[in-house]
Amino acid sequence: MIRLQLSLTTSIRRLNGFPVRLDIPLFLLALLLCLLGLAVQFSAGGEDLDQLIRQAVRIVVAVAIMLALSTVPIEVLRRFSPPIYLAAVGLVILVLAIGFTGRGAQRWLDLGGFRFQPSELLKLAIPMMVAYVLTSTFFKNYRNIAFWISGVLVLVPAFLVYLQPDLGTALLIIAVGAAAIFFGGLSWRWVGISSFSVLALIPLIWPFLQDYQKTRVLTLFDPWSDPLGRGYHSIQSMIAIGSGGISGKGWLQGSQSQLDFLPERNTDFVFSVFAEEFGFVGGMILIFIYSLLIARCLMIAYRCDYDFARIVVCSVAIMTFVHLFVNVGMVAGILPVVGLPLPLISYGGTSMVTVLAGLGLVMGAQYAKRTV
Amino acid sequence: MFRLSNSENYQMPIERVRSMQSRVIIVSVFLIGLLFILIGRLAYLQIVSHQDFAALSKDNQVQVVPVPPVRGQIYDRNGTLLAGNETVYRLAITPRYVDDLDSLLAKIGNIVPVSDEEVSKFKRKLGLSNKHTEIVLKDFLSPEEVARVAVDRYSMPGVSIVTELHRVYSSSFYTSHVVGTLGQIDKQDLQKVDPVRYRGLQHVGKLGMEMVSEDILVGSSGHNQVETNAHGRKIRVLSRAMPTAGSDIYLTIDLDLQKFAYDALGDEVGGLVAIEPSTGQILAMVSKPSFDSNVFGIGSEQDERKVLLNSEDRPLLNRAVQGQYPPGSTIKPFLAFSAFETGMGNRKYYCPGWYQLPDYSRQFRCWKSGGHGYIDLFDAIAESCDVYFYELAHRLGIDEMYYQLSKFGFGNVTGVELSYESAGILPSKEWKQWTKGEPWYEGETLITGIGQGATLVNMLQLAHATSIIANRGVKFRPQLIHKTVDVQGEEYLYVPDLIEVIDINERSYGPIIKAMEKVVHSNRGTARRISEGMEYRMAGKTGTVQIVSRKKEADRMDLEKTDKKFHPHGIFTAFAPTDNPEIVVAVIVENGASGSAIAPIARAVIDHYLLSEPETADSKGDSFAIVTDH
Repeated sequence: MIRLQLSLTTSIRRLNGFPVRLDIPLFLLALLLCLLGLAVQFSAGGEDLDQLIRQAVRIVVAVAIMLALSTVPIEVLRRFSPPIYLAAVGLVILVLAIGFTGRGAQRWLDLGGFRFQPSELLKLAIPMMVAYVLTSTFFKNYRNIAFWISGVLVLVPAFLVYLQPDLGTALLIIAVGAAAIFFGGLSWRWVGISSFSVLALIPLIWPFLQDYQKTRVLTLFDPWSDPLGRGYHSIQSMIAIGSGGISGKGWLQGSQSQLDFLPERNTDFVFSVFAEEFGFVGGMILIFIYSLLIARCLMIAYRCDYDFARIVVCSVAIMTFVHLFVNVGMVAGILPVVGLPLPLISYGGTSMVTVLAGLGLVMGAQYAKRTV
Repeated sequence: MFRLSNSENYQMPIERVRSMQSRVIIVSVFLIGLLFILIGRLAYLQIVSHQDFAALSKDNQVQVVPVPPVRGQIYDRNGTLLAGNETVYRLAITPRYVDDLDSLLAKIGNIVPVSDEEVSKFKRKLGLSNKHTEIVLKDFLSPEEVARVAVDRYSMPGVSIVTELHRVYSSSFYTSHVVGTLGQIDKQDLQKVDPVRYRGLQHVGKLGMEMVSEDILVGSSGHNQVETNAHGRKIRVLSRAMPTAGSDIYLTIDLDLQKFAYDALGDEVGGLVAIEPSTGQILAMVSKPSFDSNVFGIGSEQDERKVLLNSEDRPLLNRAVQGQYPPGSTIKPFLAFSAFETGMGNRKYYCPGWYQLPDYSRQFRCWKSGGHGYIDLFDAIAESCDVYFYELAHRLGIDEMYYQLSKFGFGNVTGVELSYESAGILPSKEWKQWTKGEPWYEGETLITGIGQGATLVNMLQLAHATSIIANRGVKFRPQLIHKTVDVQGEEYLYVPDLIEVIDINERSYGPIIKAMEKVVHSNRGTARRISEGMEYRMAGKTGTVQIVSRKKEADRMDLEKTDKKFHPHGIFTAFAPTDNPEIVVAVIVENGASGSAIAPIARAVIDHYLLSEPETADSKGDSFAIVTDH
């Protein structure tokens, strides 16, 4: 059975007799981000209280899922990885099929009231599946085959997501999958070969991109070529961030967001609102909090001597980081507008659940012990 | 709980675990490096380029909206409004904020009626203007329609209500030429006007007092700094600079007299000017045909304007100040002064009905073919003897005539506010050499003596010259502005502008005015028909201007049978009462047959002005009848 452990940073509480494992630093950092998210949502949403309450409810639900997941022993999760993975891929195919049968392209399933994006599930299912394969005794003597299989397990669902079309999530899945393979022990030689191959593939992939995706990339290089059309989002976002200056315009005072100049300011461009209202200082504090969160995950991974757990925890850390990096990079005009949310802060439930569920896995993972 | 079997879970050898741990460190360092890219980018945007982006943000957010000034209104001398401002609500669309124009138009159509014509007009304009300007879809919204649009405006981004002041001419037609009109500011205007002062203004005076008094009327633009959102909606006004309204102008025109004179001219083509001689103030100025000055305002059709501009009658021409006509016999009293000035005043000449220069074969005929016999200067004026003035002109010579007549302002602008007045022509030897490159012929001196030939005057000049006689040499500048009232209510009176007392022996006035009185009141005067029942004494002079060049033919012309456009013009100038002149009237009727035929128009106008109690309606009707014999 699982040994209970009490230390300075971790504790086990009993909730109605059920053990809850809580990593206090991780929990507090995540909660802090969620609260900051609510504050900036309030401003970006035009001080709409109903919307704020809906987001708060989502946070509560997602935190519950996080706490629930943290109690599930990581060994159990490992054994459920293949069915979870298959279910996630199946749902992605289902969404694609619905899209093909004439309802128009969509990324989500309508589950009576709330929308669920199966591709979000993949963000966790893929690293778990990769970790499962790489830690399976079946491949004990065929390590190379295990890595090749992992690669296929990553690329096939990524391609399906790309077909949705959702280039941002597809790339994120590849990044998370690659992280899982890397932390699964891919030799440095193969790390080098595959990195080089990816770079070499970029020009080959270009012709297969959708027109709007090409436009987004090209716009990145010169947004001012079409300031009212394709460059509009990017330019307005940069104006918002830049005009915030060092100390910002103050909460609820951002003219770019309050006066509707910023597009998608609740979701993809929420960082622009934050940076406009809280300035460079605020942005640095936010990035610092994320850094602490990610560092805490990596610290847990470092300490962890259970391979599956370490791979999953690292992947969650990388997933969070890529979200942060791509989102901030895109609103700051150094990456194409691909539509990845800012973790825990962007409005919307699915991404919130994914990240907090991931953190739940991390919390649970630190109790895993090497058994061999 | 769960039964765990780790038999199928392969664990790395412990040294591989150490190696994986080091990978965590390596990746951490890599991630920190990436974070610094983000931090660097944010620092660049928020610290290095902050000023630029702050300015862009301000540009986004703050718009300077010009607030046009209220244009001064124009009144007559008694304070009756001639040109006023009316609020007009117009529905406009800014295309930049519209995604689906057709559905928006359909939506608007459900709220206010929009005709297909308005839609097609709007779409024409849409193709011509840029996406950020408001394009008017519908003019003259009722307040109720404005309210309906305002209620639904939130759901129609890009739709706005434009409030504008619209110029309304309440006595259009009657006063169109004097008051004038506004028109769209065009490229030429843009070079003339101060762009700051005219910010937000779209119209500028194009005719009449609206044009020449633009500076008084226009005022000065203000502006609001307005915070707008991304959809162009006004959020709040940050600061205001109030516009300065233009001053109101009170004209010297008496609207009652103006209307009367306008009606008195009937459907004739011509012009009339009435001046108060003691001040130079213009009481009435009529030009026929007239036009509707409201045609140039908001919501009018371009076609209507084109018709006006291209009409053969040239209704936009102000015949009273721009129409140039030979003065005909009306020049005679002015020339008579030259006789006195040169000491030939009391001579008699014999009129056999024609005149011949010593070495000329051509005969110059008097209008009375039987001749006037021996006739003196005064009867020559009263009976308009041509031969007497041929003789006088011959003796004076063209240089002396030019000198004497120019004292009365002929050949020169009067200085009235309507700066586009024509100067007319007073011929001289130099003038002919200059314009035609030909020497002066003595025959031309003769016909200049009876106001034919090259001499051209407009009715304002004639009335002006006549008022100098009425004033016995005192020359006032003809004046159209009585006073202006600025926005604070401060009045600026335009006092009579005495130019000079002209250099004429003052003893000449009495006899010549007497002679002019005989034109009306003696039983041989050319305008004797109008003296019937006159309660005051009037001094005047008729003039008949031949259009057919050969006088002989013109004399034989049977007016009943000839096309009206070949009939001579009739001119009459007069002032009354003679002993204390209160009004001068000069009138021309194109193809009006003769001066005596149109003299009743002048009498009717003078009657109306002098006789405080209104004339009975039936006597008026008769007095306008134009008599066609001499």
